[in-house]
Amino acid sequence: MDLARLPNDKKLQLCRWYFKVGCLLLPFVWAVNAIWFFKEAFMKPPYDEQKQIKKYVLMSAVGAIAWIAVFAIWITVFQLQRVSWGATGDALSFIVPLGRA
Amino acid sequence: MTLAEFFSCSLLAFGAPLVMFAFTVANDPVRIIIMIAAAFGWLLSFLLSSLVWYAVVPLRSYLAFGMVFAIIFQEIFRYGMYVLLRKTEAGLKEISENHNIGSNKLEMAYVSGLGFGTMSGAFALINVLADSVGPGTLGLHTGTEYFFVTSAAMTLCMILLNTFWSVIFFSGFDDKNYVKVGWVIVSHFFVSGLSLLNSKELYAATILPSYIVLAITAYIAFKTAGGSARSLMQSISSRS
Amino acid sequence: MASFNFLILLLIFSFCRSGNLQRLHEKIYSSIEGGAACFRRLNGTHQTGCSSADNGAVGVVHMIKDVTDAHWLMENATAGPYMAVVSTGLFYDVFDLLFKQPDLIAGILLYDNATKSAPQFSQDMSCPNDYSAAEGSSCSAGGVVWNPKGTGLLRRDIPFPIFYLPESRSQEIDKIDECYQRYNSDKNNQKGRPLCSVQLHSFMFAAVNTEVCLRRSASSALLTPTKVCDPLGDYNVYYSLFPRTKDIKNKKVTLVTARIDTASLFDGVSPGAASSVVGMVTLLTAATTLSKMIPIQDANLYDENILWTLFNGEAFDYIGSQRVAYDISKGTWPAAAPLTVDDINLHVEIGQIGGALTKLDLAWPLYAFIPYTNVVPEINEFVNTLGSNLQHNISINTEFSSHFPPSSLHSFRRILKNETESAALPEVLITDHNAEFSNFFYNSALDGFDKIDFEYRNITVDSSGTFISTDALLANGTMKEVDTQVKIARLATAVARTMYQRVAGKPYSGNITASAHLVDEILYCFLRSQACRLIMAADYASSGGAEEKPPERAAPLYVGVATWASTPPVFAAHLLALLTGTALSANRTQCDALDVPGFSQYWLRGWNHSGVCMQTTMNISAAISPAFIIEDYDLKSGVYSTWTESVWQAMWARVFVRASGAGAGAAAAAGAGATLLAALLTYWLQRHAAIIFSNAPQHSIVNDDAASGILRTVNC
Repeated sequence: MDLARLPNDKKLQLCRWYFKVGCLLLPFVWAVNAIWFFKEAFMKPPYDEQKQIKKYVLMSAVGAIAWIAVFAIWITVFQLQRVSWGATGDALSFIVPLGRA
Repeated sequence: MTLAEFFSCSLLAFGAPLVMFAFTVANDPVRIIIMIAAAFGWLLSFLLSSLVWYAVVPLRSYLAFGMVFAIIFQEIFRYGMYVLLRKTEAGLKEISENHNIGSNKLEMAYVSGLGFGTMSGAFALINVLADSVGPGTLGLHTGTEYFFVTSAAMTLCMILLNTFWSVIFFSGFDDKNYVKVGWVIVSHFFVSGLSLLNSKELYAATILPSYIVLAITAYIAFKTAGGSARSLMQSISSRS
Repeated sequence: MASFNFLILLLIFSFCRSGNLQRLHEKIYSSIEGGAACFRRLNGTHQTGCSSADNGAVGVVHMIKDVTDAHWLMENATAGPYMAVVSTGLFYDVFDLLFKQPDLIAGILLYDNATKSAPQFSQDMSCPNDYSAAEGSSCSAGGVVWNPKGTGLLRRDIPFPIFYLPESRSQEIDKIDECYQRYNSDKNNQKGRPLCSVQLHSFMFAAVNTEVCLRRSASSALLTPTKVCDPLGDYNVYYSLFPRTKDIKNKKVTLVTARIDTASLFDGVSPGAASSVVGMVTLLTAATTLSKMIPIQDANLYDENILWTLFNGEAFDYIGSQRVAYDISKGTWPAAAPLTVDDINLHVEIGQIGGALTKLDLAWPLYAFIPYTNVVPEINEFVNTLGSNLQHNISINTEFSSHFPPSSLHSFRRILKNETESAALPEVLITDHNAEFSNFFYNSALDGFDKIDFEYRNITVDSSGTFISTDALLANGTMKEVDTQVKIARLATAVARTMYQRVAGKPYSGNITASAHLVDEILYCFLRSQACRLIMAADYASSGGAEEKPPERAAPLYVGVATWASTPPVFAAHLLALLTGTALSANRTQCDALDVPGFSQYWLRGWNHSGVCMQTTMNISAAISPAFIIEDYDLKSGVYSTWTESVWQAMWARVFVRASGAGAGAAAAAGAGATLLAALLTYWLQRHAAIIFSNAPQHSIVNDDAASGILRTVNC
């Protein structure tokens, strides 16, 4: 879809919709939203709906980054500590590695 | 040297054709179609050659016999591509967004040759590359590790040769200049025949003459396509 | 990819590159056949044994022909991880060095060389089964170290794979040596050259210890869990002289036991000749002889019963005997007519007696370990009777010591502590050593028939199953007094007569003796080939008459995993049924339908291979450690054996030449160069195509109006 062909209110509607969908625990939708509408929000000359689009883009970006941070921390902790967690570590694992602790 | 060998040989054999594809073919859908069609044509030629090889049971172990048939079929299919492209030129020009397509008659020849060559290169080298990934190399019984490099170099040579051969071949049939066609067929036999020497590990004896033939063929193709030393000089000087 | 490769195979090499039609893969790699790999076992607290990485361990070949080669490897080697190729004769001298730098060693290829045979080769601990020893009897309490030349590798976590090649595969070693001489012999200039290398693959699924691997085998996020380890275990075999039933008040029992299993570091290679087979064969022969001395019909004339038992899994913390002792303490063994501790009035174990058997020495000194400080009359009587029944070349001397060799006595001492220590259940162990083992190949891959000087005589057995007596064989010169078979037969006769005296209360006065011919046959079955006369006769008769011949090699005596029954206890069970049982005149269906209390009936092939119904008191019981049947048992507690074996998928080894990297480097340089050149040229030619290709032949496309008409109406 080419944003250039959409009228401004449709752009706002799309950006809002993506933000709302992302609230359903979908950080990737937020990330897409932030990147896709970035040009519209910050690099195009101002127009009416741009302020609200900016707001949604920022919120999506912040949300996506927060999710990424949480995932990164959890993944790091899990990878480093799984062995020392013993039975709990195995219970949390979907695929337990063969041949090593 | 396992993955290193694999990637290096892949780069050597397919790097140049890939770059040529990226610059000249990739941005034009019609050229992509022609290239794939030519690749398929080569596949068909190979299938027929293998059927012949399979059918003639007593001569199966003689590589030279199989090779002769392979070359003959490949040239037949190159001619087939020529006929196909000349017949469908008008239609291709219509559907193409690039209105300059076909402004050089031998543009199709080049693309078709590239497709032909890439498929032949892939078939020649994929199995060798697959074996190069493992931890071992030739040497336990016969051979040296330079087998992989040599195979990749020969593959590159064949891909480029196929490209230039198509240019010369198509031009030969356009102008009814059968000397050009003859050069293509004779040099094809010559280079393939040289590769039979690989079994004796005379790698230098196969690579050097093949690349010499490549250089000559490239020059002939360049001339055929309309280039000359003078026009090359012009392009350099006109830049500055 | 498989079909693609097939297409390639069919087409490529008939056309382009190589001169002949051999696959490239076969030209590069040469598989090493016949190797036995060291695999991983786990117990309650540790993992032991070897494993390789998932894609195998690759190392540069280094032939270690003497200790200086090993020193060179440790000090001066430069070309990356090495694969040490060393013979068994040299292994004891160099293994210490090899384990010092595990990063430098990718693996070990161990081969057996007849000309440089090892003077000793044992991978068990210097104090075998020390953690399951009875209180006060472990080596740490002081006293004799039983197996001083044991490397302990059987219980050690080895960081790289080890493969073993027997003498019959010496051509594989020659292949590797030839490759080594061609590529690796210039030791100081190895870096940057193509080098002969070997890859070993023996990837083990289990890790850490038994608790973890069993937990992982049981649960999984996916629907069907992957099994990563199995508990060790198999069957114990027992046979009583007189039948025992639940209802009738049973006689007192003398328990005579021996061990049936052995261990080794390598999968599928565990001959165990001196470690366990001699003891087992002695027990089988003695049981057979006694069954002829006292017919089973005379059961009600006597007050004493003899229970001959073969324990399995003894090499791994006494799995079989721990289970039996545990079952006795719970009153569940034997299942049909359980014993209590009070029913047993003597426990005799025939321990390791095969280490000193040699044709060069007529004497065979035996020892009776008596682990009591006070005099126990039952034991004294037994040892005296045995001594008086033995010939002058076989002697027995007593050893009063609370520190006794590895044997099932340790299990009974730990589990039935009160009764055994107070001599309410007196125990005695018969061995051929009073200090260190006389067997230098204890629990190893080299403990074969040659270590007990066994020479098969191959005497036919007639269709009535009569064996030629030992005296007759000596008389006609087929055997001599120094022969292993004769010595074992003599000992078995003495044991049988001693048991007769215990049962009947008076010395044996008949002339039935154990036959060295029978000993010959049994030894052949367990040490040389499963396709032997005895097993063919004792096997289950197949219904269609089609006889499935067992393989021509000896069955490994390793206890194996509990889910897979190994062959040696089955053989021993069938032999007992055939040799000690009563032949009934019943046909097959009648035989299968019979149900007599105290007996089992088996339809065996018989000596004339036409089938016979044998009625016997023989039976088998599970030899699985109590640790796996007690609910919520703490696997780290060390009370019972907790051994498990890892699951693996494939084990293989291959040899090839490893590239020096010059080829890859050349290809990379040439590739980068060619690509760059092509990029520049293509870009330049395309950019200035109009100028460069100025003489291009122009198109005169006939504007095919029909085509353009159609195409213009279509909206693509």
